[in-house]
Amino acid sequence: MNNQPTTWLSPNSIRRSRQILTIVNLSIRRYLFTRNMWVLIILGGLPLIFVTLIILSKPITSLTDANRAFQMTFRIYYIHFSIFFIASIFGFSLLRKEVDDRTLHYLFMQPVNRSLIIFSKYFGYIVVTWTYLSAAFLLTYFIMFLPFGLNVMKRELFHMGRAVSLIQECFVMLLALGLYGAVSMVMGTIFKSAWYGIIFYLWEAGLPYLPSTFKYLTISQYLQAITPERSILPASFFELYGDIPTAFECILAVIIVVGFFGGLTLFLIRRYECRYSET
Amino acid sequence: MNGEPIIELENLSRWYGEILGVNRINATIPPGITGLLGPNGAGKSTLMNLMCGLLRPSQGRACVFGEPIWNNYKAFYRLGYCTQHDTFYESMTAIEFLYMLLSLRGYDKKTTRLLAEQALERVKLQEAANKRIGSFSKGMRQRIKVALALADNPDILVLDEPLNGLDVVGRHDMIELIKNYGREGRNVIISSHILHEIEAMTNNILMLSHGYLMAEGDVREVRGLLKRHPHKVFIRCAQPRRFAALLFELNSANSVQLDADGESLVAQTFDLDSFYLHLNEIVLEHNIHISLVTVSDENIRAVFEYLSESNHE
Repeated sequence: MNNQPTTWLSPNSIRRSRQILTIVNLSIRRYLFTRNMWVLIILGGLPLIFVTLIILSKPITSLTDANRAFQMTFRIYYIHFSIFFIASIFGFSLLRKEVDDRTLHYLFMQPVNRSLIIFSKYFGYIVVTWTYLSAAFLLTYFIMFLPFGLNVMKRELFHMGRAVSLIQECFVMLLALGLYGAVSMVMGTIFKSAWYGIIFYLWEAGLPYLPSTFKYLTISQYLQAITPERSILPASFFELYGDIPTAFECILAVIIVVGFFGGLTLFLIRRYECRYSET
Repeated sequence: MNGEPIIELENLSRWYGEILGVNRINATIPPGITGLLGPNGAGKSTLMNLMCGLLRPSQGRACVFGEPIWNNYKAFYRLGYCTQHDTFYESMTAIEFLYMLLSLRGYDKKTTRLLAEQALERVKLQEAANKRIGSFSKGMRQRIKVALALADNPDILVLDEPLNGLDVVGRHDMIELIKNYGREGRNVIISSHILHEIEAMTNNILMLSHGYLMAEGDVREVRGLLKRHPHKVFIRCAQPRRFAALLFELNSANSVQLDADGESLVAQTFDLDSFYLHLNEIVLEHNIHISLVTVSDENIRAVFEYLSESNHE
């Protein structure tokens, strides 16, 4: 059977690209005009507000203290808190929002592979959240170190290798958004409410208190391992994490998490039905 | 278009837990316009969702142009579906809504824009193109759904209660739109619980009740199979009382009832062919002037009522 009856249709590759871009565009529009966006703005912007208040009230005079504070902010606030909740809220709603709004059939009735639909929505989520968080993160750095003067900042960034570290930290955020987002996406496909997130957060936040074997079953353990600038923080900080995974173990963990949850999502999506009356 | 069925339903069943949606439906939908009839809860929307691949069959399968539709996204190039759900991307304007979803079908920008604009013109929403869907009335929302379904002229248009929410003029326009779509050689499957609206568009029907298929085919042929129910023939003539007396003498007339207006009568007969034969003989022999003869129950409503009675017995 010829399922492409008109001559207006473009070649497969162009058509697929167009379809991906359309769904990404749709996803971004859906995020930008919803209450969830306020969650992103507030959680991502809080460090910016705190740093500004600190600078205005009692500026940090020591460069070492400033670096230490910035690192702690990244490791504790971003990795252990804000990214988790941002990824949970946005990742969970990737499919769930379409179901709750009863608009899923508009996507599923199109001649687009469902895997492509969910991949494009996932990509749209990454684009929106990572762009904003990276911008807020870099702006936080800029505000925190501006009191030391531009020359000091330039030396820190380009001679002390801080620029590379910042890029690496943005990459770690991307990874965190991707990993937590993948888990949340699957949960949003299975569950109607995000109650699982409480349990998941307690698990991830409880990392320092878990036995060493169980630490390897948390995502944050691997995120901490690949975050640069460990030397800035005291050694006692890292005792909580126990043995730090190697680079190979981190890469393997990422592949396993993304592969498992991504594959599970694709499996579930293929069998998913538009049954709004039961949601 | 040849006579090959466009949709084939093979032992199709769907349950929601213990609740029956549709059960063991075996039917073929021919080319043209087909009406899917049944009261609320009959399983029409379930059947349409199964036909359009939005629900997975519990048993059996639904095939569109010979290919199973479930999880067959490529077949959606040939399908356009207007669902019963009154939900949209509310922040979008009408043209944005159509443009975005048409983009998913793989057309270039210029063609997508053209198709979207043409679709809005067909449903007479061109003046509301740049208005947010969230501000639309119920009738406008219904029309935008139909616009999306038929925008790129799919081979099969599936419409679930498309006349809901439309005023009298809107209903008339929509019926004409659907009839024209059928005249263009395309196929339409339309559901409704309002029988005369379907009757205005087609004689080809599928009747559902409580999840079961009660009848399929031309409404007149279906009627002819209902041998338990005598045909009702409406006759308007100059001398109804005399004519009624003459009819009683015929073996093929079971009963004759005079109409309240005093100018017509309704005769019931199991054998329509014999009745017509004798009717002609009476008219010629006794010189009775007849102005109208019509079978008053060869219509969807009567057939549906008869079938519903049979189902309950």
